[in-house]
Amino acid sequence: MKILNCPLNGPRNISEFVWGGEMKAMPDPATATDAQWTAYLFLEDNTAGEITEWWLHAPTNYWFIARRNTLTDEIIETMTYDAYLARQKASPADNAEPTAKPATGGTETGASSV
Amino acid sequence: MTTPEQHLRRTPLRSALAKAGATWTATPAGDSAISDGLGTIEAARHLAITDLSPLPRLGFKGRETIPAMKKRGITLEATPNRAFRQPDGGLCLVLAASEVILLSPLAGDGGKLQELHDNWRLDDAERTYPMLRRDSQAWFVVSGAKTPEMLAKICGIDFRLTKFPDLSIAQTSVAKISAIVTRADIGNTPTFHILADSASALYFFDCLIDAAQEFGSSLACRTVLRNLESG
Amino acid sequence: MSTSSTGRIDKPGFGLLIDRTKPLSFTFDGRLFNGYQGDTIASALYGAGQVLLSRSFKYHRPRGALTMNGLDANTLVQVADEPNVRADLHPVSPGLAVKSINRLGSLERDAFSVLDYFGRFLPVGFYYKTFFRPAGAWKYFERPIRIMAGLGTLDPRADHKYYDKAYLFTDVLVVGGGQAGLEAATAAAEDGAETLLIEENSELGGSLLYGRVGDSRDAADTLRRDLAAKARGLKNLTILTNTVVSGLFTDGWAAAITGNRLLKIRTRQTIVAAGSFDQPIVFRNNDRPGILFATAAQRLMRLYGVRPGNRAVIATSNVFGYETALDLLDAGSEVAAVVDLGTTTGPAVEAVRARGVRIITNATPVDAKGYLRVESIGIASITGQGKTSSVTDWITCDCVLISVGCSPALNLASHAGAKVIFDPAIQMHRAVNPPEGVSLAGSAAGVWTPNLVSTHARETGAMAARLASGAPAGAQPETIDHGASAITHAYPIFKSGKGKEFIDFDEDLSIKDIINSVKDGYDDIQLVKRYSTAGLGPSQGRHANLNTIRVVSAVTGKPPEVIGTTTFRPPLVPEKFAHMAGRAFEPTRLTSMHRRHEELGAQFMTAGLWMRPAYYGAKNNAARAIEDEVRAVRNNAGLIDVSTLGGLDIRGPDAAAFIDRMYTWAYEKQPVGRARYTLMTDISGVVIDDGVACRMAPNHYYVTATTSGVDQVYRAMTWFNVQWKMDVDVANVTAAYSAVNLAGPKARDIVQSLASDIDFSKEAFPYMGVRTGTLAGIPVRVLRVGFVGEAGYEIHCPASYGEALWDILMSAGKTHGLKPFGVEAQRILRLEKGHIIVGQDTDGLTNPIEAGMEWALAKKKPFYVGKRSIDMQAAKGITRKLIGFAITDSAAPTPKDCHLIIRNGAIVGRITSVVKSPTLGKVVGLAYLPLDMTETGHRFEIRVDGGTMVAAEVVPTPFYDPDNARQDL
Repeated sequence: MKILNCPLNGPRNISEFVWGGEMKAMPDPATATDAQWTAYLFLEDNTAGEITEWWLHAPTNYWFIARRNTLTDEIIETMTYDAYLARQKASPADNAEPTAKPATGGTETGASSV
Repeated sequence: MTTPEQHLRRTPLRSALAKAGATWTATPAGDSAISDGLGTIEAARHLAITDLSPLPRLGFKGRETIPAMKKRGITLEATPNRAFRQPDGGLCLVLAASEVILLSPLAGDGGKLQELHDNWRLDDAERTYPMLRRDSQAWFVVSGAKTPEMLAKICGIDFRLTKFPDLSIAQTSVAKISAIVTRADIGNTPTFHILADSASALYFFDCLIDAAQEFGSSLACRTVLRNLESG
Repeated sequence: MSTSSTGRIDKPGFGLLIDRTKPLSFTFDGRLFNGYQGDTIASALYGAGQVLLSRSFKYHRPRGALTMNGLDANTLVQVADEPNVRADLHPVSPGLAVKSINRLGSLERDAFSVLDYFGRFLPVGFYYKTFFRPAGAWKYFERPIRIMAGLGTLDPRADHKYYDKAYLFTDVLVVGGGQAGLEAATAAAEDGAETLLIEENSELGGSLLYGRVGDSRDAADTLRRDLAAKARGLKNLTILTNTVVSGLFTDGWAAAITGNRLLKIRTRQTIVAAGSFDQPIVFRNNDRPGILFATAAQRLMRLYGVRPGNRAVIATSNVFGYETALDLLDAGSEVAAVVDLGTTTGPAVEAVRARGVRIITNATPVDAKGYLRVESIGIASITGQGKTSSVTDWITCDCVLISVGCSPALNLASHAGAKVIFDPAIQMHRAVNPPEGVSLAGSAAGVWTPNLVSTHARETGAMAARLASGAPAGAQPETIDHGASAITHAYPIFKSGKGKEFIDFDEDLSIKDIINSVKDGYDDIQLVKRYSTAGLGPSQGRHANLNTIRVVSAVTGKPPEVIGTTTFRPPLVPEKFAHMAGRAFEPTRLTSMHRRHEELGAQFMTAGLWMRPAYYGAKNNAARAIEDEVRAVRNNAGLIDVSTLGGLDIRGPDAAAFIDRMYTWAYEKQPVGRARYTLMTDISGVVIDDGVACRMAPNHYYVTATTSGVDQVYRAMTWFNVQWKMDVDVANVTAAYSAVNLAGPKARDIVQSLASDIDFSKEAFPYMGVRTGTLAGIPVRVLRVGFVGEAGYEIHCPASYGEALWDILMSAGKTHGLKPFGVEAQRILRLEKGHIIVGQDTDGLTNPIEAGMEWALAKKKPFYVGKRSIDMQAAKGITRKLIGFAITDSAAPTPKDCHLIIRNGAIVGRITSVVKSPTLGKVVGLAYLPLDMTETGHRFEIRVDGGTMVAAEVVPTPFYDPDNARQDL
């Protein structure tokens, strides 16, 4: 059983987590062409190497980001979504906004545990 | 003496506890019946399972929860997965920077948690929101020196006493359901409070009893835990 | 049949594990045998003269003990209903009923042994080549082949036994309680690490239990006692015996089996000190009972006080063989000769020579006589690699003990990711580049000389303790042991002119099978393994792998280090399915009203993890009971427990904006105190859930979701809001609330008979209204919604009040003809109203337009999840649509869900829901049809069970109360 380090709960058996798909930027639905939109929906890079993914700690319903190497099966690091955003901002190479955002702002991390 | 059905609020475990020979007393707030007459202080020090579901507890959740709790005089810090003992003997479990659970002391909370609930106003826009933890989750106590070994049969967390010190919290999966496990010793007896889905309470109770069987465990009750408290 | 020459050794220093004061008897194939407490099945049988234990897998040759340590397939027996028990590990107990396996008739006269004479017709690849052509042939051959080839027998009526699992946490795990393991564990524990030492045998000591140190048995025994006592004296060192570590995985995760329990071990550091496996000499008839490893003989003598034979021949290439000769002499057996494959030197050799034993150097056994037990052994001189003279000498004997080298137990290190390479200097494999957290000690690390084993293991233990505490590794232990090169003979393989020389005892593979595999083109070691099946048997190549590599090397001309090795995979030892299953954890969720349903005689069905009443009443009266429940709702009132419905509290200044983004309809302008239908689609526009959104306050919505969909909905909402960062809190309150739906024309009368601060009058509380308050003292949220199409109230309350709410309503409804109803009746009621169930009337591709839910799509909203995709689908046009239908012929058989709609012989659609409506007196349902078939009045055909075609007609929905008058009452 592999261990995944949850930013909220620390290292845990990977069976406590749910894979949330690869991180990919949602094109602006208002301006994207049909081709761009369907590519976003249905095409995967299937990268052999380092990828960035969403993971969910199921008992706390806590979403976060993990970087993983699909060739070595190594989990390189995990971080909160905010930490991920801060890093994106710091490296202008890949600064696409991940999803369309409403006008309102805030800092909610999504932690809960009902 | 009372019976669970004399009250509108009932523990989901009452049939299982009754079968095990429990008697019933009213909770300190008088709003429910709680099991009594089970177990001994020796058993509670070795390994025993207690249902505290009828006691008050209340959650708050939302991005400004920590300051809102401080405003209410709750003792806590913004340290996820840490529990804080309250002056009245209750507990505040800090699950995340945005979420806490308040647990009544064994002796009862004098209606404090109900007041906190009733006095909360959405219009105050505090960014903290009450959660009915008394309804969503059953409250089990597993106490005694054998607890870490017993929990290792149903949970993948290292609960050894040296590795999971007093007032630690693990939000994890226990017997395949989500649970919040808090160590908050009573006196010097290792004590683990487990909050788990109330709808799965009977299933979970069976799992606890099954896991504890090989250690010669027993059921206990609030009275026994109170005796433990007073030494 | 050979001798009864075996028996017990009645001398001190022999029989460590048995209690001679406690004799017991048991049966083997129905015959009574005597043994002692502490014996294994195999040791007791051997001690009683029963050397023959089993028949081999393919040729049904007689077989006896080989390792006496559970490492070979020869000792598999059946114990009561348990198949494939290892007789050399399983303790014998009074009255134990043991049976041999893989035989037809008696073990001594196995009718299938005729196969041995047809060996040339059973070449490698035989089954593949012979029985699979012509096509279909396998069908006829399979059954007899399975009967011949099977091992144990599964008893489907076997008693259920309790198996479970437990986690075990440690800083340092040491696998193997021999000299190296004890030293390593002690060192780690002394340096402060919480340490776990796991030994598969019942006693600590490994080879110290039976072997010698230098040439002294006393030295070994003293060392064992000292090490074990020291280890047992350490508080932070936990010792588990009778426990096997069967797999070692990434992140310090190990599986171990102890009795009926599977241990899931999590460790920071692991030291593999699992010792080594003996290797056989491959020669003609090398599988005869009585030919066993020297260590097996030592175990028999020292552990069980069993004499391996009265007259032994030892075939060896190292000092261990000579040491075994000394043991036999001490036990009072005759050693007919030591056959040395080389010219071993050392004190043990001199000691043997001094006791007058004949030593034949540069020679090897090449043939054995005897059938059920070895009777004599043919010796020849070695003239080159794998080459000998003809037999020079036949030596009479009743046992032949083999010690020509070892193969280190690298399985666990390999599981964890270490690379296994062949080291020609020691003619053994080594594990290199073990992953972080894994190290090796003792012979598994290639360290054999006792004082080096000690130093190396202690240093390894200390290093593990440092690493486990987070300190740097520090000095690496020195692993070069020059003494290791004298252990393993380079090529103990001697092909005979005819007959079988076994490389793999489990799979009955001889030298020519390996040669033929290579000749058939399978020359890679991984292919040889799969084609020949070498190493695939229960012993997993422990005694076959090395010699297979050597033969492949000899045939291909490539050295063994180039040949490579096959991959070790867990489990190391056979695991039972029961171990993997453990004590099954199957969570069941019960609503707060569950006990009342039981008392009312409900039949339950599962809905996800929940148990829900399907209907109330006896199973044999189901249809009638369900109809009665439907009628009660239509005519008077019904009460259904809907606590399993998902519930979400959405609170905060952005609550309305958030719901607007999550659901397809518009909610910003929804008034407080009103409920509105919700439809959720995923990002690709597929319908995934529905419910209602109740606006409790401007900044508070209480949203319901389907029983099975709520977790997915909650995850989606939190996932989006992590990104959107809207000022809103989403809470899954499903378990916090219980709920009932009180429905029917009398529903209002019932609630109005109870004390409440809610005005239930029609004017004050209209359809789709929402109120909060108390009802008979219980805090409630009341929704006037109409899933079943009658006036009704969905009453939600905190779950601990749920049962009281049920009791109060049932009691209040008594005079109004109130009946509880279950999910079955609800399905009929909702279908009569034409309401869809997401997941039943929609599938993994359904978009809202196909489902006829365009009315729930807010066209003007700039964004909701799925909008972009739905807009595309709308522009492109749909090809199917969900319609209502009725069966026109009342005598026709009733179709079922998922029956197909056929047009001109082709499938064009399917039914999603269908029911015989008690209210309407006809069969109605929902189905997907191509657009050109959806017009009202269109007639089509459904193929039902058995192929009958049933005519149906498209009709508008709702089928019942099309003007929705009743729910507004």
